[in-house]
Amino acid sequence: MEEQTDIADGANADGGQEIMEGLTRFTLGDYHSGRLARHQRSETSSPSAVSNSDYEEDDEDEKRDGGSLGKKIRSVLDPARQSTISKSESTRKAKRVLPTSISDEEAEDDLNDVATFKEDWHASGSTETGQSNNSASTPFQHEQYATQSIRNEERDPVASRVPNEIIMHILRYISSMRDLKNALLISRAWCQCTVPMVWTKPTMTSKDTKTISDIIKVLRSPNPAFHYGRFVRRLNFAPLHGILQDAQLIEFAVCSRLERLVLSGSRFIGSRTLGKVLGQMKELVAIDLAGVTTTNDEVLKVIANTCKKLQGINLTGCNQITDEGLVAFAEQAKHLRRIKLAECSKLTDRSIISLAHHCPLILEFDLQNLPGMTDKSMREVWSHSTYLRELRLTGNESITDDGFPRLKTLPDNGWNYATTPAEPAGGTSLQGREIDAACRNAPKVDSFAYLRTVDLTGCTGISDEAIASIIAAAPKIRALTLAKCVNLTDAAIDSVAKLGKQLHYLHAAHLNQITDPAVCTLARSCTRMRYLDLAGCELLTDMSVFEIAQNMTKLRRIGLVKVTNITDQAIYALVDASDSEAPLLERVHLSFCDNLSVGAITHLLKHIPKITHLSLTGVSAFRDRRYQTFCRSPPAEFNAHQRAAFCVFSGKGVSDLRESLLKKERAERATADDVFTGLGAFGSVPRFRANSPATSQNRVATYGNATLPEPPVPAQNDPFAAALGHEYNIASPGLPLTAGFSVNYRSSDGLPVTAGTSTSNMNLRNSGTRNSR
Amino acid sequence: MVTLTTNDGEKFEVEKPVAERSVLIKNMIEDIGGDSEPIPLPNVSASVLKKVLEWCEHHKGDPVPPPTEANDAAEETRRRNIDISEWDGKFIQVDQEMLFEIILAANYLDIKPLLDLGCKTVANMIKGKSPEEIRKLFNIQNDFTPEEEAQIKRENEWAEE
Repeated sequence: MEEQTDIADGANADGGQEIMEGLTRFTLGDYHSGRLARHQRSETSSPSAVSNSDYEEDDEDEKRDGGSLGKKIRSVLDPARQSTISKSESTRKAKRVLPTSISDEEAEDDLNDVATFKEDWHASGSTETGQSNNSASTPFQHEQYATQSIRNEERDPVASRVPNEIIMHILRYISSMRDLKNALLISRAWCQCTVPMVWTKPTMTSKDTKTISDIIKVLRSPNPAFHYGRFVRRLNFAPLHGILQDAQLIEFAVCSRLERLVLSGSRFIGSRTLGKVLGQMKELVAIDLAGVTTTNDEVLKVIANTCKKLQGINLTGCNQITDEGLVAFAEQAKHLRRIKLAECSKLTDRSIISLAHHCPLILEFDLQNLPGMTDKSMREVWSHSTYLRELRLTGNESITDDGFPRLKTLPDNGWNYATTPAEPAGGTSLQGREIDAACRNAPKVDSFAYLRTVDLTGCTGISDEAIASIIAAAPKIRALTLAKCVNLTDAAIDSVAKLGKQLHYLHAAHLNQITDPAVCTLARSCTRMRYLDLAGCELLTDMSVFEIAQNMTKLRRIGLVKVTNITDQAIYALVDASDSEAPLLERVHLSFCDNLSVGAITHLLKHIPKITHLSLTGVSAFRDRRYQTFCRSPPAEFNAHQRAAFCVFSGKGVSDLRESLLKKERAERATADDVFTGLGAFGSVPRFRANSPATSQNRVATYGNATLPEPPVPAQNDPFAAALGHEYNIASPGLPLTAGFSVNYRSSDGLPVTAGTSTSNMNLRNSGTRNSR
Repeated sequence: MVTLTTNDGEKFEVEKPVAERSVLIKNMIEDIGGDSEPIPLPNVSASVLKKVLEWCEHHKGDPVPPPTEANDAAEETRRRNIDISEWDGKFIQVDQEMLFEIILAANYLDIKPLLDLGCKTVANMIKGKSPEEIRKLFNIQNDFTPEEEAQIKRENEWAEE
């Protein structure tokens, strides 16, 4: 239904122009128009306000939207949306009119919301549609309509008297294209209302080019029923990226009211064509040029001079563009909210500084892999772009701690841009008003209150100080990526822990200096964590995993690749601490954790049914034909050695592996049963109830070739957790954290049993409370 | 109590909260400043107003959403929601003529939830039907020439789900 909310957009916003072009309207311009206009109006937001909803914490939605830049940007500047309240209404109810700040931009009126047949069409059909020709010559038609409606009542069936605005309202509840295509053919009035909806967002599929050819044929047709191009608001050519040609794209230049254009990956499009097409797109709000490597400074200048309403641009991989083009663009892009410049390798600090100074509303800044970017521009971003919501700096090795000055150096009046030196003298008044409105709606805090996502992957130049500074200024970060920031130590993780429950996602792979105490602090603080990756943090041990399992109870994904110290006990801890009713873990990465046994993994899969991904590459116990048949096929680029080691299960592979492991377990249990049946003759040896439902203490787990009692499921008041808490003194750095942290589970006969490779003198579990007979 | 006069001369006495489900009437009462004078409704006939007032009576307790921008999100959700409550569903089971009369009256009287209800109902009736079936259902005249109809069909053929 989303597209249909844009139906009003299908309107011809500048009706005056329409008339000049000799087109005739069919609308019933009366009191009704005003009525519905008001409803539509209240459903759209004012362009003057940086709506608070923009800052609502829907990061997850955003993630889903992911690739398409600006998808979320509301077309707040659409003139059709701003269009109007008919005059009679606005005088009668002045208080409902929108803030005066935009009144000067208000267009004609909502009569234009309906499509118009072209002139020759009108001529042929006019005799039959005399009734709908009573269009408004005066805005004050209340009485006139009243008498007309009574008169009509005697003549026409009521459905024919329904004004177009109501037909459009009805159509908004119709979502299938098949139904819309039927509605097109009901009558002229229905056709006018339906055409904009059919054309708002033409869907072009990959594979075959028939749809695009058909559309082009209609757009080029010498005598079409409508100026179809004007109804097109969104075009997504991404599915055609490998095939779209200049000759095709140029035909869409007639879509002069286009708001969103996705060309990502269209590498055959020349810069001249881009310039020609974009030169027509005055209403463009978002454009995706990712991978359109022909994009050059000239194209950027066309965008700067034409697309004054632009809010989002994706220039990822456009490596021809230079500071010249980007500065020209930045100076005009007053409304810019999102910009992606990843891999624009020719850009330097000059571009970034220009953006930071001229585009204060930026909320998404993608600055990945920009070799020309240094602390100089980072500092400008960090002190001016305080509306930031998403900041990506992957691979910018030259950025250091100096790029992130401490909070105290931020301007005190961080919200009042009018007075910051960044604002060009006498900056446009419109911009000033927008920021004011944004300030009013925004909660007052002296920091990056909206910053949710920060990606610093491979920023090898930064150290703990930068992290401390970032966390202090942006207390609501939800997703943080610090992978490969090799200089970071426990102090950085301690800073991150200050985010507490705000933090849902942490990628801290390859921080090989961090140790258990820091991870323990993190686990106890950031208890709402959903996604945690600690791959390659080689100093970590089972203790970190125990703490994570105990405290981060909402974890969906855990990455422990190459955390080579961990043992089966870590896996048992994950299972024991998970909610036995509905364990949440879905993705578990354990590659190169070579201590792990088949038994522990069996236990994991048995008790956590939601697991849909499990990686065990380089785990010796799983280098076995039996298990590798369920393994995903290795990536094509892997060499023979890598292929042999590859051991990743996902989706059905996981369920197949689970089934196989449980089958094996049952078989071994049966064997064990036989043994014990024999022993049972003595009458005093307790039986393992091999095939009993998994109730609790008497289940059996297997470890390699040995059959052992399985660790019990934790009871409500698990002494396990308490025991861990007491035994570990995380504040004491002297504690030998890597040694001896394993738990002894006892068999039902009360004898201690050693599990897997771990042996321990410490008995953390009181066997008396756990074993019942 | 408020007195409403229809275009066929009938008078309806209704409680103020019921009448004020109509934003038009609510504003008129505010403009007049009192509720003593009868309010003329030249666009509505007695039979339709009776039906509309039945809806207003049942929904008189519903919270009236303030027409502010802060309400946009809620508005959006409501509009997307195609569900019709049981009472409303029964209420709107009327012949197509009355259905459109209710829609026109709801639009004129500015009763948005009732307008939505009517439009949703029409939309549901349209779904899965051919143009000819829809025309028949709603008594709509086909004012296309055969050539025009063919052209519209041809020019929009490409559109897919």
